[in-house]
Amino acid sequence: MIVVQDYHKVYRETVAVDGLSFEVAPGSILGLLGPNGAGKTTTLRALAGILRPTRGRLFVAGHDVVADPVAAKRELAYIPDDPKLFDALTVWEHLQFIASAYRVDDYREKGEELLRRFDLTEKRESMAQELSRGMRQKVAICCAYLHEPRAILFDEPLTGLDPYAIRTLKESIIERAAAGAAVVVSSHLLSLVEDLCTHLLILNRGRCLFQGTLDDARAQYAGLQGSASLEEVFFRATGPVRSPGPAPVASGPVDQPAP
Amino acid sequence: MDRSLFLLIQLKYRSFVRRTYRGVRSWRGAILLLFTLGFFAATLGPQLFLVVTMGNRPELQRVVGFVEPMAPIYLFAFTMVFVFTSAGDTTVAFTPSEVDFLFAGPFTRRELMLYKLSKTGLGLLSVSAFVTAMALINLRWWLAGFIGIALTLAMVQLVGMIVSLGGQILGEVAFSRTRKLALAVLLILGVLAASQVAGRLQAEGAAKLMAVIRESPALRILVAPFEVFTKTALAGRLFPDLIGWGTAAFVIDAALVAILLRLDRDYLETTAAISQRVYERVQRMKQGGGFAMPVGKSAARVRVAGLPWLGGFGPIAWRQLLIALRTSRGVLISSVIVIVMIGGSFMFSNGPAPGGPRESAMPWIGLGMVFYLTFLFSMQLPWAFRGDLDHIETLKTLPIRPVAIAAGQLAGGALILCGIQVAALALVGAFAPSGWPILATASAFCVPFDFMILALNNLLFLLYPVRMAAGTTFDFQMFGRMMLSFALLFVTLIPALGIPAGIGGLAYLVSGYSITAFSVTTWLVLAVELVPLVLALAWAFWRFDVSTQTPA
Repeated sequence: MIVVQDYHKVYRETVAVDGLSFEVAPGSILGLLGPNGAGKTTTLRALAGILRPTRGRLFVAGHDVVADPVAAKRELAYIPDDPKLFDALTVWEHLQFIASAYRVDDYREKGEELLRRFDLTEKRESMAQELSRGMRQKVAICCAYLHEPRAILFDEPLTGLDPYAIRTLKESIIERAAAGAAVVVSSHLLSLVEDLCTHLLILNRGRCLFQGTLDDARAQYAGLQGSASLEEVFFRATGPVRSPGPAPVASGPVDQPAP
Repeated sequence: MDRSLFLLIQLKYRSFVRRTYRGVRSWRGAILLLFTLGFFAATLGPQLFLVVTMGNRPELQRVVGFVEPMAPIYLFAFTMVFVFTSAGDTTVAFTPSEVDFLFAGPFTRRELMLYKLSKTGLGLLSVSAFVTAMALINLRWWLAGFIGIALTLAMVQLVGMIVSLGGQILGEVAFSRTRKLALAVLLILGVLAASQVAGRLQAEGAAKLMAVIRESPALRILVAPFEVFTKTALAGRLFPDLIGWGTAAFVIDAALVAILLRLDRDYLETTAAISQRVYERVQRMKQGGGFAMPVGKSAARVRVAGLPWLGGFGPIAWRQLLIALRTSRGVLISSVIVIVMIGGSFMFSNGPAPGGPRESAMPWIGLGMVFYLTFLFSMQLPWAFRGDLDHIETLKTLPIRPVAIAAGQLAGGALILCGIQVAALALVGAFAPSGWPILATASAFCVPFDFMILALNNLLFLLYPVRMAAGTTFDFQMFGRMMLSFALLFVTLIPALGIPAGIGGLAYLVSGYSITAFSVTTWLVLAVELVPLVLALAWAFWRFDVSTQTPA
């Protein structure tokens, strides 16, 4: 569903992402981990078609993000770390616009259901500028889910959410994956990744340090017990010096690309 | 263009109406709207009266005649400065919400560009209506003015967009360098032209020389396309003036749109970066006013030696001095541009009527201009409490008495402002060498005057905090608040300056008409007035409640 091949992103002298390749199959949830400046957001923004890759190819649902961006974006939802809503539009008008953009004809029922689920029904007619940080995040998530995307990219999705919303979001991500969506979650919250993700991708300074399942990770980093936490894996992978070494890859690709 | 993008524009305009309606439902909002409308009525009323009662009488036509020959030159200069500075970035900037929703949405680049053009076009119509109304007296026919101004603004925007997007072909670094190079070339040409003009000024007379420059083939070719737009705006008849020039202007704009769409570069990434820069600029303006400039790496080289403790005044003043030094570039450049433009026009023209301005009037006009600019700019300076709106909480936690904080907050900005004023007055002196005694005396008043205006400004601000940047285009509530703040400052300045001047006047009479007695007395009274003002400012800071009074 999501395929990234030899993705490079260079800003002047800075290499933000250096030859990254991975795949996320339908039904998988990939946790994107790495310290600040590792290249996580750059990768997500490139998949969303906002940033142009310096080299390499990115596919969403079989569509090349650069060559056929509209078709790729139609299958995709991207929720940035700090979603900026249209300040003067109401919550419902956001859904109305997204429905129009993604050609969702039966959006009313879906929209009402999403608002109910994320506890936004009372805020239906509130303008975005009147909402708290967490509520804006929830509106962005509702907008992302409305067109039932086949690929979903989350960048720090829990920021500002209360415990109820966190639980709802986690459940919804698992449901979307079960329904066949490929999900990427970038987060510094290792517990979130540990709870949700079927696969891991650890980045540092633009290079892949590890990709595979959590069990693969435990096996990869010798010395860790089978019950080792993701935190231990992360620190072992990124190391105290955090210098990018060779990228260990678990046997075979993370997932097979979509046909 | 995709229908959802039309829907988005429609929703945005509907929200503007809704926001305005919600705003006026409160007493405060209704008063602010009335204040705004009153301001427009006061500005437009006399113009409408003159236009209705005098029509196309020669008294009005003289103003148009004065504006017409210079307008293409100013328009050319404005376009160049707009396009080759960061101001041009705004033409291709999208809002952060547009970047998040539209760039990642299922739209082609061309659709997004058409959306941007449509939104800009609709905005320009509103701006054009506003400018036409404000400049009614300087136009021959309001309809031609409206059409001409709209087409002119569109041309400036389109050129800005083409240069910004075309620049990507060169690459960001190369484009930045090219832009700087172009500015440098323009500046050198301007200096060369000015030096040539200065040499011939004495020999040929300012007005004659200006006429020669205006008629020179090089300048005529350069400004010819801009003349099309000014002729449209100043057209007096439907045919041939408006239809002829208007069609030509429209064709130029259409050609620019065609070029823009043909470019169709993969602009999303660069535009996202530019949009972020513009967004940060707006945020800075909201935090610190219109002159809150980005502090570049080179600014870090500006250092100030630490000041002694002085009851806490020293560290606060040191911080403000450092901030003021590092962010004063915008004020300095703006002041110089305004003075050079107005001063230059003034000196190169005899004005529309016989007995027009001469060099002897220049120092007084320059003086008025400098102090008026200080008044105007004082609300947009990112210094003192106004620039620290989001840091007041931190200031309150410091183990320093409010009076020391208040005095320290004022000191840095006032001293830098004073330096800028002295530089500006020196520039005025360059235009009018005979006015040096007047300008030197005025310079001595800079320090108490700047402390006074900043203290009053910040006192009003702490009592009635308003961010000096609109959240949206045509934010009438915000406009009303800004106008009210200006009016309050103006009203409080009258006694604050009037009392020292009155006492100084008494000293002038008692001393047998001594200018020195007048100046010294006025200066001293002005300085004494600062004591209660600083105490009042300290009280306002002490009572400021960050949880309820910080504006959104």
